[in-house]
Amino acid sequence: MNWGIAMSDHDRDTQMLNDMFATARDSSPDATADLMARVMRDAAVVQDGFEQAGIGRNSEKSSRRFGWRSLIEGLGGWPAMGGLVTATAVGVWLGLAPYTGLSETVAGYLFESTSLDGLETDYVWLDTLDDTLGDAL
Amino acid sequence: MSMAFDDTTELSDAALLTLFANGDKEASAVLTRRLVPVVLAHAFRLLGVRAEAEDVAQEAMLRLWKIAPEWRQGEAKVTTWLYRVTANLCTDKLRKRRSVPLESVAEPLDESASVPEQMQDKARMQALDDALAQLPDRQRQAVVLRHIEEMQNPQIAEIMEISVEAVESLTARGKRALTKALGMRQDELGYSDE
Repeated sequence: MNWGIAMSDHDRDTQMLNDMFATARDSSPDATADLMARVMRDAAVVQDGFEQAGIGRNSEKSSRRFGWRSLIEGLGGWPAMGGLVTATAVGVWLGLAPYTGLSETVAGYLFESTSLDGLETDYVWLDTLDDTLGDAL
Repeated sequence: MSMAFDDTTELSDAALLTLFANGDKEASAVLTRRLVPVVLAHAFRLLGVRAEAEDVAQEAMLRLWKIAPEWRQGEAKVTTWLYRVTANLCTDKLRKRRSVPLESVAEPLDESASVPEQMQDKARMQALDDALAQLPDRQRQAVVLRHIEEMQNPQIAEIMEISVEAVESLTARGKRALTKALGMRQDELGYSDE
């Protein structure tokens, strides 16, 4: 409605554009069931990939690994872990590692730790310790 | 363990994305229901072709699923990230389309629409799509976000990673170009005597 007042070209153009924008807003396409199913299928495939790659915390094993990584990061990363491993190994060697009450698996593992001879194996060692402790506890 | 459906639907997109990365199946269902309509609508407004918009929506969501483990809580909103990805995918589609005649990809008119008003709305939407398609990519995106999605300039600036002033400039130039393109078709589109 223009209330009897002649619209300028500018007003008419603005009204036309606003009207077309409103029509476009109201004519959004609905997401079809087929599209939703395709998206959900993709999600399932990607999620399975995470699980197989040990990403996320949905599996017990990956959860324990996540815990170790967080612990290592909290302690200052691998350089700090190197010192910690060495100090622990020395402590065990000095006889400060009574293993009464520990399961054979864990006790055996602690003795194995004294034979660490290179930091390159730290990760593998901790990863194995992770699994071993998980099974023993 | 998945949360109860009612609880999950209350969570933010970012929280759901984290749950998804941790293997929660319900999280992906909620995110799909919540985000696909948004992405599809935006893609459709940028492309004007439903089939292409659906492909873009699927691809944008696929990229979201893949990035889930790396998503950092508290940073960009999931929807902001999705709008960016969607716009980039649409730009790629439009570049490829420029080597193909528009008629071969344009949405066919619904021949069953017999009501004159429906026909007119379709003609107007086709005209708007054509005019939007003539705009530079960034102008088109800014105009669609501002005038069709009805977002505020600061939000558009965040999505497009530009200043608010740049958004104002893009939308103003875009509107001028649309007015010029559509002004010549006012009679044809039924606006001359309104």
